[in-house]
Amino acid sequence: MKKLIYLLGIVVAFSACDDSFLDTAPNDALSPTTFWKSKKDLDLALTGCYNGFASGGDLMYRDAGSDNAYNNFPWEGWTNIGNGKLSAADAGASYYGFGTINRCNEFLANVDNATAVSEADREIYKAQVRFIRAYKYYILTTSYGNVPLITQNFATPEEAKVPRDSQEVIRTFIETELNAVIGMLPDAYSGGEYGKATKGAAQALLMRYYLYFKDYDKALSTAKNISGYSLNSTFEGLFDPANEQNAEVILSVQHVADNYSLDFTPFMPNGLGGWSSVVPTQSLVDAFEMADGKTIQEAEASGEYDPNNPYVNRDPRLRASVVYPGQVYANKVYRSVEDTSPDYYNKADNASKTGYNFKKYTTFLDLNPSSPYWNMGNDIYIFRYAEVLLTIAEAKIELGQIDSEVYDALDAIRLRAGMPAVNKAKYADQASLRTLLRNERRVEFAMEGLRRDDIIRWNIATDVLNGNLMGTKRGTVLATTQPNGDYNVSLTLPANLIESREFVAPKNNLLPIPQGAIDKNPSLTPNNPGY
Amino acid sequence: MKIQTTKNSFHKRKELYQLRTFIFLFCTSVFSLSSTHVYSNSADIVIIGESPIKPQHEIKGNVTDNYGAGLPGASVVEKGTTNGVQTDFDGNFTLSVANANATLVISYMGFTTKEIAVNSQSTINVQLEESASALDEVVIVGYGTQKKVNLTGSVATVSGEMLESRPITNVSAGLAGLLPGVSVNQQTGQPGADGGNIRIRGTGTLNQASPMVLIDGVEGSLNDVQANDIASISVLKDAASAAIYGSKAANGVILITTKTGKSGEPTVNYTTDVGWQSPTQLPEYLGSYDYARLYNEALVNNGKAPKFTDADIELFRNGTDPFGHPNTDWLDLLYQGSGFLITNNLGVSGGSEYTKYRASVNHQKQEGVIQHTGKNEYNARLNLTVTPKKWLTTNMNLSYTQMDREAPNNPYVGGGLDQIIRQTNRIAPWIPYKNEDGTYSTISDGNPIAWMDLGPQVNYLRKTFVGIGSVQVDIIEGLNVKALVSHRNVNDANSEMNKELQYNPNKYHGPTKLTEIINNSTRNTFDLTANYFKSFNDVHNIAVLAGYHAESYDFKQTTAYRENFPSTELPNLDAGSSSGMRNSGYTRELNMVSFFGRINYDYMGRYLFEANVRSDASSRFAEDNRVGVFPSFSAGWRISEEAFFEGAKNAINDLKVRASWGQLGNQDALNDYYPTIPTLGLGQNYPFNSTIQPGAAVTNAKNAALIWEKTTSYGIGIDARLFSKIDLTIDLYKKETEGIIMQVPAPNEFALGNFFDNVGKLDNKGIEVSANYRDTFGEVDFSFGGNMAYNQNELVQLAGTTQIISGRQIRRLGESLDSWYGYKTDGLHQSQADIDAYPKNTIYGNQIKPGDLRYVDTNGDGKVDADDRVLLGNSTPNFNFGINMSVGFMNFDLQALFQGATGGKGYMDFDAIGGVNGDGQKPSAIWLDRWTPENPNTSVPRLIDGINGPSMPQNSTTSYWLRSTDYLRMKNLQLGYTIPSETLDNWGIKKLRFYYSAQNLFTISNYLKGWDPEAPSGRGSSYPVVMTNSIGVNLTF
Repeated sequence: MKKLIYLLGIVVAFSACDDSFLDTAPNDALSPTTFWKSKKDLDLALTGCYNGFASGGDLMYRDAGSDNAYNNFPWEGWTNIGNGKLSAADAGASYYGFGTINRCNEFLANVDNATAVSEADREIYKAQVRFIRAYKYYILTTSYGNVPLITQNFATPEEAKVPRDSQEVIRTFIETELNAVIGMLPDAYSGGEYGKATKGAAQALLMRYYLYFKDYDKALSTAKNISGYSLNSTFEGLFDPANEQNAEVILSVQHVADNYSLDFTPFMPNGLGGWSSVVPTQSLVDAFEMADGKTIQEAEASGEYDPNNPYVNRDPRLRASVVYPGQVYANKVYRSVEDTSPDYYNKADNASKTGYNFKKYTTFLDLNPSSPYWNMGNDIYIFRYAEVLLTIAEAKIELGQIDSEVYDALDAIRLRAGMPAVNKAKYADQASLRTLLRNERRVEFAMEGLRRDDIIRWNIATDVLNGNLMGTKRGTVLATTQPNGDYNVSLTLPANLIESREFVAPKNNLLPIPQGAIDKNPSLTPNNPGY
Repeated sequence: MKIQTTKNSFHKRKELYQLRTFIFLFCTSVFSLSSTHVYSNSADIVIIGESPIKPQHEIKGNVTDNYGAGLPGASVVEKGTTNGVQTDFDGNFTLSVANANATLVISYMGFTTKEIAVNSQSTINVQLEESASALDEVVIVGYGTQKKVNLTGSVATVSGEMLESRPITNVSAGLAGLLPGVSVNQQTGQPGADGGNIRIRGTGTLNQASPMVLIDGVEGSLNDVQANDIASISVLKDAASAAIYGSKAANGVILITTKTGKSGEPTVNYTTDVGWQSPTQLPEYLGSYDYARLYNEALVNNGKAPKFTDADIELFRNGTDPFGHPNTDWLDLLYQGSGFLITNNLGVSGGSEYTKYRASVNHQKQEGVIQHTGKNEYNARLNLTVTPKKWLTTNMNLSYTQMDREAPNNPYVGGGLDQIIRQTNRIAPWIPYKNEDGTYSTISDGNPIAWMDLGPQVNYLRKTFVGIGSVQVDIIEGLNVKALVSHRNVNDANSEMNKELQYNPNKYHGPTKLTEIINNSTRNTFDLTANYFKSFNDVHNIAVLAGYHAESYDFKQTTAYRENFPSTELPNLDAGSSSGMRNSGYTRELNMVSFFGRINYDYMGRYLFEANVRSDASSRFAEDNRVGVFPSFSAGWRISEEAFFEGAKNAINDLKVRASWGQLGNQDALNDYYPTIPTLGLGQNYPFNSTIQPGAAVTNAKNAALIWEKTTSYGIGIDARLFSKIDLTIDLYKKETEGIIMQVPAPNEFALGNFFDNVGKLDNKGIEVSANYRDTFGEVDFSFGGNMAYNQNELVQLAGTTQIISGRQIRRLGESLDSWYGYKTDGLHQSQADIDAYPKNTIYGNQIKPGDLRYVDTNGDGKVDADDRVLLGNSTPNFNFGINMSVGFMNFDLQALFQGATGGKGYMDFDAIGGVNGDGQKPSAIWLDRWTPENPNTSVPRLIDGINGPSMPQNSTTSYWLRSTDYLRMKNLQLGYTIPSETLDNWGIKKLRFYYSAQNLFTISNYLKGWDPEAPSGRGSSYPVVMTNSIGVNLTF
């Protein structure tokens, strides 16, 4: 009996495991059953849609897919896009993802459950989310042409194996959505909400959209409707992180050190510990005019341009955009043309292969060379007002409306940069103005990620993205200085060959859908023509 | 913010549960100690039968084991009578027999029974041989023991002594080659991180496929126990034997029983082992002279200017300019560790009628073959069994393990040792370790040896405590009830520092950062089992087990981070800057409640039946799918017990056939503890106005319909003993795993990555054979054994699709799991004409040049594209084998264990194979034989500048770079000498043995030179597999 009592005691002590013992739930994530109620919930979910919606780093890499820049490391995704050797199996940088779109769809499907939030406020939330979704579809369709239009999330992966919709469908969607939200979005937000999509952002995207698809009338009217913005007083000051909320900015990718930082390591010269992943080409450098508005070809003919000391008296935007040999950058002289320099092209893997380095956004190193460039808070611009002015000019040129509005827009850009106004005698007809406008757009937005789309829509990619890609000529940095403090150079040795590039239209106008995506959804076949 | 509201009540309940566990453990231990009886000195000679004839002849003697140590409790019986005694604590006995010509039968569990004719002797000393195949061998099975001859399931066993006296640093490594159907792949020799991957009967799931490990009946890890503390290991390989563990047993079960004390005077055992380790293989890379030549060649091939002048190359060759034109042997600079290994183990055991105990302490210190990679491990273990009443047995089993290990690190990308080995394999030989001015030279990624010079930066400290307490009450004859509680706590405190480094005036990596991660996991369990045994008329034997099991598992992680330390020598968080500091943390919990039962029935030990069932309920699944029921049935027929077999029994001493069917579950398919509960993940933040704002989003898809994976297994087997010398076991099996929880290959359009569903089916079938032969020739004891296992798996269902390609591997219906997938190549293009004549390679187009691999147009459509990818073989071996032999002569013993595997292929990436890519890559020696117009008769393709060419192993997976990993390895060699017991008796020593022992002494393999066939495929940046030579002493007194 004693045994049984003892035993019973044990059993009783441990048998009190009720059913709820097996009901467990995570303590670090929210439950959707109790979510979508309060304003706080909507704020969390809205921020979740902005999280990763655009990448500042990607915008800076993008020019490596054009004649503006070169990406030395294939695994970073842009080498093969630049040289045309990309394939479905080796697709390089991919935009083929629906993560942000999924978040937006989820938001739009649930937002109206939050009845505690006023309908008017919900409208503004929804409009922002629809803008983000339209932005993603703009990137998808300009990159891949036909893509699936997904506005409601799928319950299972099986349902998600959908075929591609035609670009017409995607275009209609983007246009309709943007036109709808322009009226809902505010002109601006209170200070603490800076960075959210405004009416101007939606207009700017629509404007860019019309321009890409060559609807110049609508591009013009949309651009002219954008108001409340103005050019920053100086070009260089535009990229000062202390001035990143200036009146020119329509929308930017927000960053803040430590928590949502931007790493400039890929763009820095080897001599400063960077990777030189994305470096400007000689072709880009040559596109910058002389300070007096002559092209370098014109200036060379008149003896004002010395190919052996080519960085003297140039468009000030060159110095603001590119680190070139002889330049004083981060308190050091950049000597990439000398074979003793850590920046000499074959001195190290991370030495720039072109002899130039990326400069835009990084002038903070001139102020403080020990800035932690791997952990910066710089906002990277998606739309700024200069694009609106140049769109007005371009649309009017293409429409044949050569009038003062064209010159005013170009002059505003040029004068702000410290360049003379357009020589109206020299640039009087559509053809010459088109050339000028395209060059102006190239130098104004160098390394801001617009160039690849521009050369594709202008149908000039086969001209500018074919053939040998060359770096700078080599030589020595002299002891003499220019008025701006940079050193003169003597480039007497030939340039080095970097690679041979190939661009076949129309194949290369679009990227291939990555093989991995097709493997998971065979309905995406056939791939884009040529891949 | 709304959070599930049941938390508080739940936590209270949980605390109560934990409190009870502690109270029970405490009570058990106090009770055990308070009822410990004083050691009894009475002579324990027990007459086990009464002699019908008046004894006339007295015999005195001593029974010892094969090492000469006295065997207490051995049975000495006059043959054909019931006259017998048991030996005392020293193995001595005195027995009177009726006839001076009688024969004595001396037996002891686990030893071969010996018969000795008395022949009028008055002193008979007997040495018994331990036998793994004795018919009365008892094996540990789930929740109990069973005589091996009565087993109907497939259970492989190995005794602890097979792991003794070997310089092994991890029990898993010691198991390799010992058990049929148990494969061990030890990928690295890194101190403290060298556990092998164990697979029982192949890989049965796409998910967690490691077996369940129980130590003394409680789930744990092989890291919890030291080889010297192990008494025996049982591996439950089929559902029939493992079903009693239900939902955790689908991958097999490893049952470890630790040594316990025996009644008798205290025995002290001390073992010390000192060894040295060295890599089995190291890759060989080219020096500066060769690399510079090859670099120029590759540049010129690509139409670029050469980098080096002839003068440069000459300086590399003659080595007269050690700073300007160095030839740095980076691997030599890295592998500077001593590889020293020392193990000390001290065990004390003994006991009385009421109390049995064994306590041991173990220390192992290891210095890596790379500096700053050492470990220091301490273990303590106590087994205490107290039997205060005849009907009451209490047991307390405590173990504590503390292991700390260190690793170097770098300030650039972190990643510990892996990144250091990777960069050492890559950095060019023309980069000097240090410049002439003493500063470090660097490539863009830094300098791996400069990182080593910073000393250890990563510290892992793991403390594991396991406490088990049990009380068993014998209620009536044949019925007992046992309650067992356990508490296992694992505390990991990891500290990773990235010390800043100013290599030279131009190069800085930093700032100094420190991350502290603390993981704490606790599992509390409670088992209540009842066992009933009854024999009817000595013909019908029935045994019944019923049980209840509950467990709760809690995990908590806390991390903290700071940077900008004023000094690299202040590895405390407080020393860092509070600006930029971060922290994070989360908890997980998993609870289970189970019921189980087993019935064994046998008829005269001839017809054997067993049935098991277990019902598990897990918190991991949604309420409706929570319970899984796992039954099994098995039967055996001991043909040798039949009357008709009598004539054959001289040749076939024992013969049994077995058959089984059963089902098992697997819930460890998921890392996710809440796979059915949809959530919005936090941390999806974004800054507005330069201030970070919290964000949330659905980041993972959840599936409320998930249920257990279920494995059904069928097996038949034969056990036989032949000519009293050979033991043979053959098993055939088939395992079908259905409803495999797998990550459905969600299309990009689904957008959420982790959608898990029960959509896979995988079959494994195989055969296992083991045979052991043991004999004595004069004074030579000889044994020879071998085991082999062939396993083939086949994917039968795959998430509604026919194949899933992931990187270099594919899962395809009808094929083996994780096959290599890529392009078949058949030699090299010798000329442009050859290229033009071949189907056009659309992947690489005009990048294909003479000397490149010829891609085969496998589908014959006239071009080579992604559709020409084919299966290129298995990534894991499907045939594993082990061979062991031992020879004992006089006082010498020699043991050898070979182990090997065939049927797998490995793929080393460009990081390992190397190539020409500036300072950050150097070619391995394989490239010396590359194709050039002057060297066309080679299999090695041309070398290009860069890593992405058609012949390089980087972008496309090609059959050329896949190499067979077949190997045969001498896993262990041991030579021992035992001092004769006559000599030792004078010193009061029972046993003294000296030995030399080696692990991985040599390996025969055709794998890529420089890489161990067991090392993981990929970039070759893991710590090398090592061989160990050691000497040791084993002392028992």
